[in-house]
Amino acid sequence: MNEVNSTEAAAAIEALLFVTDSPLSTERLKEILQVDDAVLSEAIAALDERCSRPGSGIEIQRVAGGLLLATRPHLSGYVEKLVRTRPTALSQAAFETLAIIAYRQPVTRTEIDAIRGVKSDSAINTLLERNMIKEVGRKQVIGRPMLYGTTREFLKHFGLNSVEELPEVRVDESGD
Amino acid sequence: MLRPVQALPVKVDVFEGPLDLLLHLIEDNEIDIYDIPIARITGQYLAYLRAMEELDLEIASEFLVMAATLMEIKTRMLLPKTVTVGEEAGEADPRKELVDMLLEYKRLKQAAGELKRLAEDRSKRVFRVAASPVLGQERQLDLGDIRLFDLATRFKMILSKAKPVISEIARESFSVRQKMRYILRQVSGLAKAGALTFTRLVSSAISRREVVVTFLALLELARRRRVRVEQEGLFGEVRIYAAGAAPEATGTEG
Repeated sequence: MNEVNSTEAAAAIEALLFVTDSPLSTERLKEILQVDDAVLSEAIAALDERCSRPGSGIEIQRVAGGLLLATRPHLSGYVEKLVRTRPTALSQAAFETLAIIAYRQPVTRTEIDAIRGVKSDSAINTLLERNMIKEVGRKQVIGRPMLYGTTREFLKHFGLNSVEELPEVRVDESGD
Repeated sequence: MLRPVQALPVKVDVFEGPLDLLLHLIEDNEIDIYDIPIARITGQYLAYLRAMEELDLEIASEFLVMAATLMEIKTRMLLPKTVTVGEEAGEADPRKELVDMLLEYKRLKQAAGELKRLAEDRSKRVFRVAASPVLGQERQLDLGDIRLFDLATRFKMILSKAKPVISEIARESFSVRQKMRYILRQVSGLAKAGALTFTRLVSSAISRREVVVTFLALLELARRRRVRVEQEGLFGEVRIYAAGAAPEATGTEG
């Protein structure tokens, strides 16, 4: 293994992220840079630090298990003038259905319907079409119903590294 | 019954479902979710359904099921508590199941809200959309000192040697007029009130063109009211009926 110091590695990572648009995993980075974990994380930290200075317009985002370059949020006003960034809106029904699937995965249609109190077929179909959810298997009960879970696209859409990063939901149960 | 032609300005499904409506009523009334005054809530819930009915809106079955559930709970709460001796004593609050569902639903709404907020946050960042050079290994081809002119000459030579591809195209022998006659013959052969489907009509077609011509013929016949055409819905099967009084002879007018 040749000696790649973290400064060089940071520069290389920046370059690699510049040419890719799907999350680059740390495994892949290590493979390309031929560095060990310590150097890699040092390099990423250095890059992070450099990008978070006031003069920087981009930042490193951890998405779907990898790294991606993203514009910094406070610049969205400018960026929006150039590109449309509004996420294509999901209906309330789709959001509710997606929330159940995200927090409870894997779940079946029936389980989703039970929580929402209504049929969720069309919402599920929309989410499948939008590649936000996928079929992840079948539940081992009578009828072997399909189980649904979220996709990488879902993580990317919501800027999450993994489903563990979903915000905690706490309900004030005192009955406001 | 007269139905309003235009879509009502009132959006009915502002409530995603019965639980959504119930939660709205509970929050509106500032009610303790653990101690729901069932009679009051049931009354309001039914009033809402009645309003929907008056607006001539279709009430989803889920809403009706919930109405029944509410009334059942209300009845059970009106019954005197029978304290049976033994393990059945201390029967659970009849509202318990409903409360659990409502809490779960409330949690869900919160979660949906969190997701919305995330998407909102996320939209403030734009991920790099690389107009990437082709990723991965690309093999270099050593062209030596071949010039563009050499390539062009070689290409021309290859082209001149290449055998022309000959394919035979069968002459299509049908016209709109012919197809019209054909359709009329088919339709007149039908039993009374019988229908011919378009699929059937073109089942023996040999080309896309023939299908189109058949369709044009059908349109023309429909326009001349020689046949009656029905379709159940978008992309549904087209059914063709003999027009009531029309004679079955071939078209001469028009």
